[in-house]
Amino acid sequence: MASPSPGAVLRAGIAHAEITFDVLWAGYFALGGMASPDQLRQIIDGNRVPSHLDYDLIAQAINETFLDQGGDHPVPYAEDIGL
Amino acid sequence: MVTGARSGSVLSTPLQTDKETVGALSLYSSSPDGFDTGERRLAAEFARHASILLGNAVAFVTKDALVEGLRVALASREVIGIATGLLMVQPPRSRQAAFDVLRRASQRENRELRDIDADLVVQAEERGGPDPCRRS
Repeated sequence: MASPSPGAVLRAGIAHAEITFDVLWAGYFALGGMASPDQLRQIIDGNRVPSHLDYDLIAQAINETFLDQGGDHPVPYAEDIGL
Repeated sequence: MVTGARSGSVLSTPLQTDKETVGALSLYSSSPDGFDTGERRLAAEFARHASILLGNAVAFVTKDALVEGLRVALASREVIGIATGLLMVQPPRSRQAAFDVLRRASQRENRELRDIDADLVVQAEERGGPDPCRRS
């Protein structure tokens, strides 16, 4: 079975975390992300293929919102989805 | 909300900034047609001043939140950047590989990356030698 696309995985994580795009971008930026809000939007929408590092930074930003709620790291990282 | 006396008439004036409506000024009278032209003009003038004050307050709060958010993000970014740099030096590894080390520690310990990185930076400072930039 083919691996899910990075954008689809991230969109599922965002929906699960119930965070806004602005909160996601702020978290991604705080982790060292270099993509602009527009570029991040393109990645999330599946219109731009993220680098391995950018994908992991976005996944980490989402996962950290679960840590705030006492959760774990449900969004898989790049190596987990074969990016 | 009006309680007690029955209202015969209401004069309601929007409180507007350049971008949006931020509230309304509503005056109630127990008499039908209880506001004359002068009172309506006065209410409009009062609403105009109140709109400016409210608009400034909204802008101030929004700007304050934005500045605080950026301050927190930049502080986090700096710590994470230093920790990543430390891991890239010894042994030599890419930024991606250094990030992998840090996020695996975050997963293992169930802690936020900036907390893991802050510990790493403190440990590096504690075992560091004299500052090469300091003048004797």
